[in-house]
Amino acid sequence: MELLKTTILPTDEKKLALRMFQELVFERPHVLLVVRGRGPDAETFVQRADRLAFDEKDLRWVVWARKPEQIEEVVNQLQGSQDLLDAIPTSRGFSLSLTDEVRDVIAGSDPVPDFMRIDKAFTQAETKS
Amino acid sequence: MMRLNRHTMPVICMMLCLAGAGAPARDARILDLKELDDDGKTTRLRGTSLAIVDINSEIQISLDATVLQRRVTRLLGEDAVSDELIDRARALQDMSRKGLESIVPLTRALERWHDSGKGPDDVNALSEELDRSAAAKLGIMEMAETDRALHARLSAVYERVLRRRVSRAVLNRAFFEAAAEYAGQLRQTIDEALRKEGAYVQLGAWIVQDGQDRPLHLPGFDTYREGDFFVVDRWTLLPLNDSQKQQLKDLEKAAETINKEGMAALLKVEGLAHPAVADFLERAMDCLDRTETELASLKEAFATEAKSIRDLIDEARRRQQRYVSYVVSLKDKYGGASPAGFHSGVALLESTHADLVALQQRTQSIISEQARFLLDLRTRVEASAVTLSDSLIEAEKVLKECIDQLDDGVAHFAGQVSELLKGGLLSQEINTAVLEFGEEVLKLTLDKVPQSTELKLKWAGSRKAGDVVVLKLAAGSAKRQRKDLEERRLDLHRVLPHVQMTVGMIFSDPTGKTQVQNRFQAAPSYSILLKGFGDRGVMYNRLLTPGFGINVSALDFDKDDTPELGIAAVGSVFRDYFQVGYGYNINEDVGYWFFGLRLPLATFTLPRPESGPQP
Repeated sequence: MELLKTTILPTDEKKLALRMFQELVFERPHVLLVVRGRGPDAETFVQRADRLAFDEKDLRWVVWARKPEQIEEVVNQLQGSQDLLDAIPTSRGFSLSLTDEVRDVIAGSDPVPDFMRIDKAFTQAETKS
Repeated sequence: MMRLNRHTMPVICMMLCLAGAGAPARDARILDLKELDDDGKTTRLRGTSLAIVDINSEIQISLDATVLQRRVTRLLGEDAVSDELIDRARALQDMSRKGLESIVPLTRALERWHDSGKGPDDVNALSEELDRSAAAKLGIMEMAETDRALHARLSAVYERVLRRRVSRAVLNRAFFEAAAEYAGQLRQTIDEALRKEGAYVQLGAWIVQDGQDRPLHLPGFDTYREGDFFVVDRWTLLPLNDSQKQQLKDLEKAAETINKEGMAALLKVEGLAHPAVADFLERAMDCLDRTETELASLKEAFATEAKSIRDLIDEARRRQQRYVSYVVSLKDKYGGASPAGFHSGVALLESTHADLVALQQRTQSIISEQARFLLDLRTRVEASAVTLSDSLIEAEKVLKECIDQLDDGVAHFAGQVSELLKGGLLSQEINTAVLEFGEEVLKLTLDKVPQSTELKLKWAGSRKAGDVVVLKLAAGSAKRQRKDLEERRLDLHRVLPHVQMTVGMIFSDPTGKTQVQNRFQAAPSYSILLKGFGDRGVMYNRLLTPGFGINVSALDFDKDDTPELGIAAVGSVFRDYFQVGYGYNINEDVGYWFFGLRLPLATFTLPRPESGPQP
C-alpha cells in the first residue's frame, strides 16, 4: 500500500500517537481527514483518501488512527457543531478544516466511503465556515 | 452523514426557486442586451422594456436558454417537460461553469500557498479560492445524491482519474466537465421533447422611423440581408444644406416682421401648415383626379350584366370621393391667407396637430383599401366570363401609381413634420403588435436557437435620433398559435459626444448703445453645439439633450438693413427648443445677451436640427 500523504499513528505508543496527532491538528497547516479504526474497510478508506490528498503542493493530509481511543483526548478538544462532535466516536472518520474545526463525519453505519464521499468530506473542510 | 452547510442551503434554495417556488425565476428575462458603443464602452441594457442606445452602437443580444425553455414549455402548455428538469439542467450547468472557472485560480493559490510561510494572510488568501471551488463542487455532489445517473457518471470519473496520483486540478477538471456534459444531455432531452411538440422560436428586429417600420437582420435568426452601411457622423460639420439655407431665409423674413410688429407677430401664422403637407395635398388631388377618370371609364367598359364588378368599382369611387372631400376640406381650412376659425396660435397648433395625425391615418387607410380593391377586382374579373380589357389594365396601372404616390407622399410628409406628428417632445408611440415576422425570420427549434446574436446599427441603413428599434421574441408550435414571449424597445439617440448644427431665431438684448428700439431684436442664426455626454437616461435623451457651443447670427443693431455679424457663446437645452448665451456684435462693437427659440410652429420653424448624418 503506497501512502504518500498519510500519517499512520503508532498503535503501541499511545503518547507518541497523541503527540503526533496533536501536532498534525494544531501545528501543521493541513486540511485533515482522520480515518478511524483498522481492518480492510479502513485500509480501503485510507488508500482512497490518500489519493484524494493529491500531490505534495496540496494542503490535504490524511491521518490514520488505527486505535482511535489513543487520540480521544485531543478529539475531545476539537470544535464543531455538536451533532458532528457527538457522531465521531462511532464514525469511520471525520474531516478537519484549516482552523481545526470538525466539518464532516462519515458515519460508521455508512458503507465504506467511495472517492466521491471522501472528496466531499475534504471539500466540506475547505469551505470557509 | 449528510448535513446542511452554507453551501448546501443556497443550492437547495436555488433549486426551489428555479423549480417555481419563487416568482423571480418565473419572471426572469430571456433576452439580455448589451450595447457596445463607438467609444468602446459596453453598457448592459437593464431597462425592462425601454432603453436608450447610441445611434451607431452594436447591440449584443444573448438568450438565456433555460428561461427560454421554461417559457416555451409554459406557453405551449405541454406536460412533456417539467420545470424541475429544466431547473436541474440550469443549476448543474451554472455550477459546472463556475467550477471550471475556479480551477486555474485555485491551482495558482495552492502554488503560492506551498511556497508561503503559511501565516494568517496566506490562510485567508487560500481560503477564498478553496471556498469558491467548494461551493460549485458541493452543489453538484448534492444533486448527485438524488440523481443516480449523475452519481454513476461522477463516480466513474473518480475511478478513472484516480487510478494514478494526480493533482487536484486534473480531478476537478474531469469532475466539472463530466457534470457539464451531463447538463448538456439534460438540455438535449428537453429540446428533443419540445421538438417533438413542434415548438419553435422566432426573434425579429425592426426599426421604426416616422411611423414606418422595416425589418433588420439578426444573424442566425433570419435570412434578411444586411442593410446599407450608414454611420451617423459625430464630428463632421457640413456646410448648410439647401433646407437649412431656406430656413435661414424664412427666419430672416420672420425676424423682420417681428422687429416691426413686435413679439405678437409670432402667432400670426400665414398659409397652410407646412410646405411638405401642402405639396402632398396637391399631388394627392392630382392623382386622385386621374384615378377617378379611369375608374369612371372602366365602369362603362363592363356590361350592365357584370353588376357585381360595377358595384365594386362604384364602391371604390365613393371611398375615393370621401377621401377627396376630406382633402379639399383640409385645403380650405388651411389654404387661405389667414386660416379660418382660429382665434389664437395655440388653437391653430392644436388643430394642426390633430389634422396631421388624421391625414396620415386616413391616407394609410385609403391606400390599403384601394390596394385590396385592385386585388378583388382582378379576382372577380378573372372568375367571370368577362374578357380583360385594356381599360382594366390602364385603370389598374393608374390606380397603382396613385397608391404608390400616396404611399411615398405620406411617408415623406410624415418624416418632414414628424415633430408635430409626435407631439413635439414625445417619443414615437409604437404599436408593436403590428410588427409582423416576415417569411425571412426563421422558425427555430430550441436546439437550433443561437445563444447570442448581434444587431449592428451601422448596418441598419439610414437612421436619425428618435428612431426606435424593436426586438420581439415569439414562440409557437404545430398545435399552438405563435405568441410573443418578450419585447424590448431601444430608442436611438446620439448619446456619445458629437457636434450638431441648429438653425433658429434668437432674440438679442444689446448691452451697449444701439439703434434698437425694442428690448429684443429678432435675428436669424445658427448654432454649432457640442452635445451628447454619454448619459443614457430617458429624460436626458428625449427631453433635456443639453449642449453648448457657438452661435452665429445676423444682427442689425444700427438698423441700416445691412446685417452685422454676431458671435456668441451659447448653451442649449430641451432639444434645442431653448438656447441662451452672450455674444458680441463685431461690426458695432457691442455685447448682447440673447435667448433663442426653436418654436414648433408649423410655418415658423420645422427645422432639421442636425447638420445631416452622412453615409
